[in-house]
Parts: sequence; structure tokens; C-alpha cells
Amino acid sequence: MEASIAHRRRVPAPFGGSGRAVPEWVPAGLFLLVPMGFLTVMAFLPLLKEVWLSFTNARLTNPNGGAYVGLGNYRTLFSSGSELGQVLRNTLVYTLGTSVLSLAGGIVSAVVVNTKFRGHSFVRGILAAPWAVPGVAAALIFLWMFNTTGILNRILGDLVLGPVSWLSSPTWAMVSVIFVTAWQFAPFVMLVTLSALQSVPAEVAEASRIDGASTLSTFRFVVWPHIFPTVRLIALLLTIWTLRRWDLITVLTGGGPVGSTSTIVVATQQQAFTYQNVGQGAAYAVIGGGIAAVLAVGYYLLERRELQRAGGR
Amino acid sequence: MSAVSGGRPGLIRIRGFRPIYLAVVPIVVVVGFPIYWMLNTALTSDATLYTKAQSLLPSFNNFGSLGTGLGQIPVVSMFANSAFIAIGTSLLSVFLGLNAAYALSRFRFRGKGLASILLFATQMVPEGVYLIPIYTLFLSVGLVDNLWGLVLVNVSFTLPVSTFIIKAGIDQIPYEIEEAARVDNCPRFGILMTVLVPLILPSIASAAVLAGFSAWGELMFASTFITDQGKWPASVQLEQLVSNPEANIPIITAVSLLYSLPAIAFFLLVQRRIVSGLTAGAVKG
Amino acid sequence: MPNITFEKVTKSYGTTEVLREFSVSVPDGEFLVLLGPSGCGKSTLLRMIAGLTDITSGTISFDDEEINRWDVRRRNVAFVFQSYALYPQLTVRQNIAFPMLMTRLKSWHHAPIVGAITRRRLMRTPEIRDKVEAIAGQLKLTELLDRRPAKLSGGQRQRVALARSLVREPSIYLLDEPLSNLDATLRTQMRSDIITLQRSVAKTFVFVTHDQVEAMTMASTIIVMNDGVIQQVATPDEVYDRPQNTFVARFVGSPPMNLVDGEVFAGHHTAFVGGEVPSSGLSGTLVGIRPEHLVVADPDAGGLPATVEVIERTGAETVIGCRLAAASNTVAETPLEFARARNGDHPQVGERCSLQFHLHSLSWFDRASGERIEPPVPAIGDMPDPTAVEDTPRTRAI
Repeated sequence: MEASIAHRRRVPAPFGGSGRAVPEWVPAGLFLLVPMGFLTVMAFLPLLKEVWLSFTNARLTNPNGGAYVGLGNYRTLFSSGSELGQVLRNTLVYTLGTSVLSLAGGIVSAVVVNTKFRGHSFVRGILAAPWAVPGVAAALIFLWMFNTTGILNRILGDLVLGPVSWLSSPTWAMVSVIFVTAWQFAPFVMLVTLSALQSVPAEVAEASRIDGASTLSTFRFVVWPHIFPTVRLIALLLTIWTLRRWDLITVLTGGGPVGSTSTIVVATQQQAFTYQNVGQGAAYAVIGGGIAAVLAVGYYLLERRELQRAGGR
Repeated sequence: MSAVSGGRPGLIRIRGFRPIYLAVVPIVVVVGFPIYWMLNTALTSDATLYTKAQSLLPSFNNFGSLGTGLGQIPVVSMFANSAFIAIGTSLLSVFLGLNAAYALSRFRFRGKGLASILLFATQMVPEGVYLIPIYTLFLSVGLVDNLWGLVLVNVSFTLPVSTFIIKAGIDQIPYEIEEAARVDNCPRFGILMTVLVPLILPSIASAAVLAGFSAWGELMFASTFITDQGKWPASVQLEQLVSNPEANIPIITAVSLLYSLPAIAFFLLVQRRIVSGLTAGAVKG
Repeated sequence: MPNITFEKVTKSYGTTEVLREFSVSVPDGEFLVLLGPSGCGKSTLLRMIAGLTDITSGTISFDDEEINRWDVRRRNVAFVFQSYALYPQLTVRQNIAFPMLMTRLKSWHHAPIVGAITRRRLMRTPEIRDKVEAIAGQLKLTELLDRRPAKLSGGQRQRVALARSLVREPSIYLLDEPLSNLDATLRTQMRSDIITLQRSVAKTFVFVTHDQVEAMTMASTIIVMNDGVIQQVATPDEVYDRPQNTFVARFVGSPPMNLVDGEVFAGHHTAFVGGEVPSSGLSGTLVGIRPEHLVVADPDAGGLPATVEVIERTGAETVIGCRLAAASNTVAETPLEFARARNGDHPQVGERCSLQFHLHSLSWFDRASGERIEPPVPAIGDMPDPTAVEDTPRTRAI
């Protein structure tokens, strides 16, 4: 008996304990405990609370003390006089405009930077920089540049095109805000597309050019199909990121003039913290969250259908 | 290897000049100008800006007033606060992400897929949606107007990405080393800390920088939650300075430039790794 | 000092069975070799002993104590991986000391900075330091103690992996194809080193390999496996001389055992080659003859007629590959029969010859199942067919 015990070793507690092997999910669960717990408190539960709040008429001074009003907030939002229509329109224009502009700018930059020319790493660095600039700093300099006496108007004046009130005219304000956001996002598109471009097998592209295809055709038939999945992924990310963007709009226009740049996140914050109407703000947030969720689910389903189609071929 | 290149035979060639430059120059100008303009504005004196029009080259006459101007802005406290939030977010995000990444990478268990989806579901929803409920939550525990509260908020936004980056790093390590450690009587937590961490330091560093970078620039929660001016991080302080009618533009722009520099520097350091990590899944072939 | 007992052990991944049910008992102190081709399940079996892979059903016991649910750490085994699995960021010294450090560290000691400091302190204690140096000396690693694995050759890494397993003084040593990644000369050297090691620690070694030479030279017991099924559990001699089935017969031994179609005739056994088997309605057999028991004689010396097709000179001897005359008439391609001969003493390629062999050096197998069967030894003089077995081999005149 003595001899047989010698082969057993005391395993230090608490991870050893009786030395029994535990099923996989126990240590996994332990490792996930704190991160998931953290997210539950900071993300999952707040989302639920948001929905609940949207059914109350809480005010900022006493957010937890609102009374249940059912769909009251939503009714107000969807009634004819509300600004929800404009907010949604703004959100759509902002999101689409920024995504398209970022994609276009980023892809073109990537194609350009992908060529070897003198100083191309330097150019690449410059084109990547705007992503790194914190939102406030970017907004500040563009505020200065878009000023009625700012450099942009001065150049336009020299070109005898007349000054534009970039930030105080309802139409131009949206354009300006889209431009600044795209300025910040395009570098990301560029970097990812660049990486995708560089993974295009060189032989295929060369073969097509030897076969007489022009640069444009090569791009269309060889390069583009290869980078399209990446572009699609980035497009989704851009849409979601744009939906979230709050700092640029707030610093540049504050949501104005006359609500022409007020997207759903801007409206949410304003309702709750400026107008002190927490219930209403929560309703906006739920709508915004819903839109984001639909987008994400839609993309997921699209991806899955693509995978199935590719697998079945 | 580039798939697309400029220059075809038959075009007139000026020595050293390629048509590609025609495309490059305007792009660089459009993209790079605002940053250059920040530099320009910072270095041009207030007076110049209002009397004459700002010229394309900086007037470099601002240095005198920079000293006094900066004195009126709480530069030290604002950057200290931003640094506090950034570093705190960085450390906590990485620590939590490390644990989550290890669980998702090395263990097989039912519900693993669900955990992954949940982790990323939170990223889909705009941060603005969390603004109100977290405010009410913090209100009840006294974390509003508290820098630690901001750290917590930022961590909840950067946790999924940190997990993703670190998980990619762990996936690269051969599993046999961990099995050897288990045979060598190393407890699971020990395997993570003693064996894995030294091997995945680059991934951890990338995740840390990305998280810190994100917290450094965060404005929405900071401006909504922090009311004590002494606690304002740089992002809020700058936003407030602009709305001040007596704003000294060059000084503010100088501070803004200072604020941007660490972000740009760190970004250039890690961008290669982040991008490759992101494209690993997306790029086919 | 555990005996390892497997009782009705199986392993499946989902619905795929990887190890068919088996029961084996391994006494303490054995050098057990798990031998088989890739994918036969030998590594899985090894990992089940270690606890790195779970058991689907059945029990494994150490000294009659069931260890199925024992954690890896409690089993007190050492595991040498095929890829050695050394810790890349630690020096050889730290790698070897690692198991000892782990026994002394509490769980909270693994926090990042605390861990590094505590480990450094522990490394300096005489107990650990001396032991590491003793073992390093034993395996000739002393000059390499402060190097990192990246700067070591394959053989050196191997020895570090061995050293790391030695340090823990485990009760069982498990080695997963440790020599597969080494070149031939190093492999031979390490083989004898490992055998010596096993003798000096006097513990059970379980060694996985696909190389039958390694198995034959090192093992005290071999478990031959194929496709998740255990084929034979026996000593090397037994496996060689009395293989349990045709798989073992062909897998062990190089050149492999010759298998020739045979037939049972009224209690006697005669050897024919496929195609010429008389339809007697009796079950077919395969006759197994080891190359060293097959003699290449003159074409008219009696025995099975054949033609020489291949001659391989291995230096110490000559291996002659022949095709039986009857076989060349069949549609299917039959393998060559190989015989060992002394150098210089044989027909040339293309010449006809006859193959002779001893009755009692044969193995008999059922053709359908491949399993070994025991034939009755026929009485001399009862042979009905002159093309059948010879009683004594006649050698060619020199």
C-alpha cells in the first residue's frame, strides 16, 4: 500500500483540490467570469434599462423615478410634429454619405499608395494620420478652417466662387460634417484595402496585363473581385462606426443649424442631458440601437448566405 | 508587389516624373492640409490672425504669447486626467481581455459561441445608447463626475476588441507548450500568466495601445459625466475652450496639436499589427 | 511504482471511434513501446495515460486505483512531446527547473511581476540549483544551461525535454515519438541513451513510435496497433517470431515477412500460390516466411519455382527479391518474396531459381481474417505434392 501511494503527488490547493479533473467549462467559466460579469453590468443590463426607461417619463433630475407611460414617448416621437423624421433622415444621409466618401477616398488612396514611387511610405504615413487624430482636435481645426473668414473661404474667394457658410447653412453643414468624418475614416479604409491589395497574387495581375488588358480592366476583373469581401466588411464597419459618431458633429455644429445635422446619437444625448427628458432620450436610443442591430444581423445573414453559396458550388 | 501601377510606354516621360504623381499630390494636399494647418495656426500669433489674413506659411511669431497663453489653460491637469483615463482603460481592458481571450481560445465548452457573439454584440450598438442607463447606474453608486467611472465606461467599449486581438495572439502559440506546463504541475492561471503572457507580449501591447488610444480621444461620456472642471480630460477642456468667446485660437490649436501628437505617434507604431489582425479574417486567398 | 491497467478502454470523438475497446496490464518497470503507423491511435492512448485526453469509456488504473478522473497534475507522470514543447522564453536551466518551481509556487504567485521575482528567488535556492545541475550533467547539458531553446539543436532540445521530465522524478515516463525529428545517427545514439536512462531510473517508460526498429531494440513489451485496434501485446521476440496477424507480420521486420497463399489438405499444409489453388472447398491460409528463413536455391533443387527480379546489396548481406512462377500468371500484382543471402552467393537478376524453407520456421494465418492459426506439424513422408514444403533446406553448393 505504501508503494502505491508514492506515485500520487500532492497537488497544491485551490487549483488541485482533490486532484479531480474538472470538465472544460469550469476553468473556462472562471476565466470568463470577470470579463463577462463586467460586460453584464456595463452593457447588457444597461441596454435592458434603456428599454425600460423609454417606457417612463423620467427626468434628468430623478432618472430612476419616472412613472410608467407605456408607449407614450414613442407616440410623441412618431407623431407628425416630432423631429424624428428629420433625425432619421439626417442619420441616413450622414451614414451613407460618410461611408461612400470614406470608401471611395480610402480605396483610391490605397491604389495610389500601392504603387512604388519615391516617398511612398511617407505619403502613406500622411494619409494614415487623420485616423489617429482625436475627434476633438480634428473638429477644432476644421472649425477654424470652415470659419466664414477661414482659409477655405479665402481660397474660394480668390477663385471668385464666393464664401460658403460651411457650418451655418443647413445644407452645407451636413456636407461639412460628412467630409470631416470621412477624413477621419478614410485612412482605415486605405490601410485595410492596401493590405488586401497586397495579397492579390501578382502573377494573375501580370498575366492579365500580358494578355493585353488595360490597367482599368485588370482592376475590374482581377483586383476588385479579390478585395471585394474585404471592402464589404469595411463597409459594414463604417456604417456602424458612423452611426455612433457623436464628437465631430457636436463640436462642429452641435446638431444644428436647426437640427440639420442632428443624428440619432446626437438627438439622444440632447434629449436626455440638455432638455432633461430622459424617457424621450431613451426612446431615441432604443430606435438607434434597433437600427444598428438590424444592420448587424442583416450583414451576418448576408455573410452566411455567401458562405453557403460558395460552399455549394 | 503592386497589382496596379502607373506609367505606360508611349507617354511622354519627363525625367523623374510619373503620372502617378498627378494623383498623389492632390490627395496628399487634401488629406494632409488640416494637420499642417494645425501647425500653421499654432505658430501664428493671435494678432496676426485677426489683423491680417493667415498666410499659407506660418508666421512663427507666436512664441511669445504661447508662454502666457498656455498658462491660462490648465494644460497639466487636462493631460494628466486624459493620461489617467487612457492608462487605466489600457490596463484594465487588457487584463480582462487576457482572461476572456484565454477562455475563448483554449477551452471547448458549450456556449462558447454564445459568449463570443455576446462579446461582439455590444460593439454593434452605438455608445450613445449606453449613455443614459450608465448615467443612472453611476448616479446610484456615485461614479458620475469620477475619472474611475470613465475608465470603466471606456473599458466596456474596448474590451471586445482587446479580447479579439489577444485571442489571435494566443491562437498562434502551439498548444503543446501548455500541455507540457500542465504535466509540469502548473495551474491554469499560472499557465496564462507565466507561460503565455511572455509569449504574446506584442499582441498585448497592441491591444493596450488601441484601448488607450480610444480612451484618450473619448468625448461623449467625458463631457456628459464630468462636471468638476479640475477633472476635465483634454478632450472636454478643448471642447470648452472653443465655445469661449475670448478664445485664443493659436494657443488652443497648439494645445490641440499637443493632444494629437501622442495619439499619432502610438498609432503609427501599432497600425500594421491592427490592420493585419483585422484583415486576417476578411481577406481571402 | 504503479502497474498500469487498462480495462475495456475505448476512445471516440463524437461518433468516430478512435480506439477500439481493449484491456491490457502493464507491470511496473516495463519499457513499453506503442508501435503502429500514423493515425493508429497510439499517441491518443499515451495522452490518455497522461490525462491530456479523456477516456470515453472503460477505466485506467495505477496499481488498482482508478485514475480516470484524476487531473493531469495528480498523476505524477512525465510527458516528452514530439516537438519537445520547451518554454521558449526560458533558459535551459529555467526549463529544467520549471516543474520544481511549480510545486513550490502558490496560486497567487503567478501574478506577473510577483511571479518573476519569486521564481528568481527560488532558482537560487541550493536544493533546486543543485538538482538542475546534477541532471544537466547527467544529460551532458551543462554548457548549455544558460541558452534559450531557439539556440539549441534538435538533439539538444530533446535532452532538455528529457531533463525536464527527469527532474520531477515521476512514476511513469511517457514519450511521444521523441526521436522522430532527429537525423539517423543522432537517433541511434539517443536510443541507447534512453534505454540506459530507463534502466537507471527503473520506472515504467511508455514510448510511442512508428519505427519498428526502435520498437524492437528498445522495448521489453510491444503493443502493436493499427487503426485504433490493438493487434498484439507481446515481447519483441514474440512479435517477430510469432506475429498475431498478417498486419503485425508485415509491419515488423525489414524486409517484411513474406506471405504466400497456402492450402490445407487433409490435415497437412501445403503451399501454393494464388491462382493455382485447387478447389477443395477448404478455407484458405497464408503462409508467412521470414526472409532469413527463405533460401534461394537452384531451379531444379525442388521448392517453389521463382525468378529473381531485384537484388539489394545492403553491405552486410544481400536481399534477393523473387517473383514466384505461379504468381506471374495471375492478374493481380503480388508482392515480391524476399530472401536474405550471404554476399556473392546467389543467382543474378532474371535467372530462375527455387525457394526453399523450413516447416517449423513458418507462421500460418487465416487468409480471410488475417489471424494467426496453429497448424499441426505434418508427418514426414505424408507430403502429397513435391512442390510443397521441404523438410530440410538444401543450400546451394559453394
